[in-house]
Amino acid sequence: MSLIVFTGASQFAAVGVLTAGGSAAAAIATGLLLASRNLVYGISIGKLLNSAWLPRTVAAHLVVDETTAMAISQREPSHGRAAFWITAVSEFTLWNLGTLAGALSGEALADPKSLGLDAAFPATFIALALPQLRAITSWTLAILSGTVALLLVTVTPPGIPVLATALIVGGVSMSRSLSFDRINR
Amino acid sequence: MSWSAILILGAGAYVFKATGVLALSKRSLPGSIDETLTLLPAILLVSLSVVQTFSDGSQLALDARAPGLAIAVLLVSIRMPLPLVIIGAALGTAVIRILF
Repeated sequence: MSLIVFTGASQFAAVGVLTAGGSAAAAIATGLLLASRNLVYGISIGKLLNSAWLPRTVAAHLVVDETTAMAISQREPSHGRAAFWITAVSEFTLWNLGTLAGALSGEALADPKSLGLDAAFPATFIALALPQLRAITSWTLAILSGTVALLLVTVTPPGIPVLATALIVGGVSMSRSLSFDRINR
Repeated sequence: MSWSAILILGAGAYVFKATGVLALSKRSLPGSIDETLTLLPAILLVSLSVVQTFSDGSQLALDARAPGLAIAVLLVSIRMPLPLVIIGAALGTAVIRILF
């Protein structure tokens, strides 16, 4: 899965569904829900990359939380592209090597939680995303988005909260900027 | 997990990613929508961090991850480099887990 799916949350979730006794269909559905946010990421990465179709089709496979976070955190588009590719290549390599190592070592490894690694992911994302939120409106949208996401966690399947807030926030700000444009003209 | 299931999931994930990447070119949108789209991943990542910190599956949770995230926010605000932020957060969470 690390080679073919390459979306961490989807992989963990699919395995989780199966180990809890769920069907393959349920595992796939859960995995796909969690993968859906990559579409939103893809839009930003697509705008960042050069137009040649082959690199773009390869890049698409590598669009995930981490590569997107690194790419958008750069000020210059050229740095953003470099950040994307460097992160993508190193993460694809290490993620797959890690998967192999984990599969081979099995029970012998320490619980990631005892090392605080479950905090490492959200820490990384927030560290990369926060500096992007420079204006008060973006802060407000982020707080709104986070709140709505938490509210949705208990009532929707995994993957929906984050995706839903992306759609809501995107919709709200696009309609605001559209009306703002009309006023300016 | 069967190979066909993995391939289906992989294909579906790729369709999401590729739709985003290939759907829009660099200059196809007016400025204000473009600005919003630029902001969207950052906001999405903040939501993701929040959900990953304050929930466990379908339940809300408050545990050692929360102080870890707080440490990350603190370290970012004083402009610490990314590796230190990550290590600080992980270490903080691990230590709090040991203490409580």
